[in-house]
Amino acid sequence: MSLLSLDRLTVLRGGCPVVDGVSFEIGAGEVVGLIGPNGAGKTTLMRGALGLLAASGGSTLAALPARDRAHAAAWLPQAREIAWPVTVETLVALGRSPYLAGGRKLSDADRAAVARALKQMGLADFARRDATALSGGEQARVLIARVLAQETPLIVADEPVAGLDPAHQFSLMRVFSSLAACGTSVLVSLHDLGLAARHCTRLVMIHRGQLVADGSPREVLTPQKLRDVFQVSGRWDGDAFHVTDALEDVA
Amino acid sequence: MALADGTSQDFSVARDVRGLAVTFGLLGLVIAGFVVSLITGPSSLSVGAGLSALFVDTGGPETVVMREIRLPRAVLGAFVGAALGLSGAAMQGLLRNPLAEPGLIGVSATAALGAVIALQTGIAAAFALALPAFALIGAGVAVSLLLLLAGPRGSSLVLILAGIAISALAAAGTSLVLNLSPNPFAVAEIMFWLMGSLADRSWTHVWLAAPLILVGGVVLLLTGRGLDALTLGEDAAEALGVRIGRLRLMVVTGTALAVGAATAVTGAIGFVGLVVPHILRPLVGAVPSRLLPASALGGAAMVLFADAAAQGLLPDRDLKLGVLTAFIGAPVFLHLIFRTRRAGL
Repeated sequence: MSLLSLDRLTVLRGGCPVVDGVSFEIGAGEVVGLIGPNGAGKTTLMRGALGLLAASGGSTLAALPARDRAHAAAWLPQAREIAWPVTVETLVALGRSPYLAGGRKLSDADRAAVARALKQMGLADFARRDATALSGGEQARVLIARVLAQETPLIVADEPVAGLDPAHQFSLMRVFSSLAACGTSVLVSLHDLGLAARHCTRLVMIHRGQLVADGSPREVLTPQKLRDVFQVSGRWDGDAFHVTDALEDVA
Repeated sequence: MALADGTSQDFSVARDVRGLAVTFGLLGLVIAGFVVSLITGPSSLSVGAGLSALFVDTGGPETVVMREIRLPRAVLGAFVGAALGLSGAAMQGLLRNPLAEPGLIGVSATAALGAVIALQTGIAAAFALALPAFALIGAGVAVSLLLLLAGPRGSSLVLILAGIAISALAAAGTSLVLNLSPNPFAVAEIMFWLMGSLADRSWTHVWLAAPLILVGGVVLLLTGRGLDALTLGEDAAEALGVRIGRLRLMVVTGTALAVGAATAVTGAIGFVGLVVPHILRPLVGAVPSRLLPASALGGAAMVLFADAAAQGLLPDRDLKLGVLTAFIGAPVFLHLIFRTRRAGL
């Protein structure tokens, strides 16, 4: 079953293609890592695929009406915004808003989904805390819990591990893996290639807006692609992948 | 899991109880303010005689004072206060900024300019409804111009910039009228009108403003869920199914209707739309959708009490309501700043 299908998706900014004819498909139960250097077009690709940016070419999600799309995919933007000092529980419950017909309150099923999401992110004890008073990493986990509470077949997350400590990075990736085991898919942009190699079932590598590789981590993270796209060398060590050196001064 | 569900249920019950307490508390304040407003005034009516004359026609001047002067004044005060409080809460929710206020989109300034033109040209003196009609036209021009400038997909920043430009232009227009006015009495009349007041307002003013405030208020109350989602930012809210362009249009037109109508009949009453949502936010758990009705009630209560105080403090001097709300509002605002600083933010 296809959860997202992109057909030559192209996003222009000032006449230049920031995302240039990208096609791929995501089926059920996948953790797809979106990798690429800074400015490769990862965020733009995700927003275009969701229909949050004007794009040409096809995206099955962008074609949906707003409410249906919110039932099909949840979006975690990179900017972590919590505008008002609401409780963690209230914030996570916003993930249920696509299911509430005008003016209706949260049902027991909605509350259960919120409680599950809080538990998955280890936030059960934080439910009544003021979300804006938490640390940056804790706020990031609250916002991820909001996305989980939406309980969509597909989760699109833009650098969700940024700002998390190593234990929480691993535990988040394991949450994604366990969701995938139940049929949910995740499209996640990552900068940590080791984390991507270890936890993703598949990697999509983009460079200057174009798709350059799509396949298993071993197929994508080859010495040549690492050199051409990231200007680094790396080494596979059993199932683990390590970036070993920067090949030239990228700065 | 069972425990987590149980506690979450208890929390929600506790929150519902607290929410009801806040709503009824504010409702009580509005009723109290309404009664205080009814028993305050320049005529030396005793409280009992006044209130009974309201319900039983005595055939004397008491009933006229109560039914034709004090009652419309109190009703108008409640409507105008609710319009200002509600618009302030909606505007702060849309722009995700506690410093936003309904005047930000330029509606108050252009409504004032329309009224000033009516006063200066003498049309207001010739035809009683010309002043509020001109003010409403001013508000309508402002909102059309705003939507034209900001466009259907314009960001909040563009909206603020367009509002500031329109406000500045309208303020310059008002200054120009005052500047070129050959008649010092007209200048004084304009200045006093600009200060904002509920004095000498009749049922005609109520019938003119109330329907527009009601329509605007309903539009604003419908934005609650969208404003809640905006807590996560525009991108996340849009992905949650909120149509941001439509939400923005609803907040702008709702505010224009409510505040435009309020300004048209009372002049510019400042600080209510800024301070009331600010005070009430902690009481509703900072949830935008719950802040909307609370701010409508809080705004009504603030204007009713402020108007009674304006009449009671200097009974012979016609103290303007807008002057008093600024005197109340500014210190409250300073207190909030100090509290924020103490919290270490």
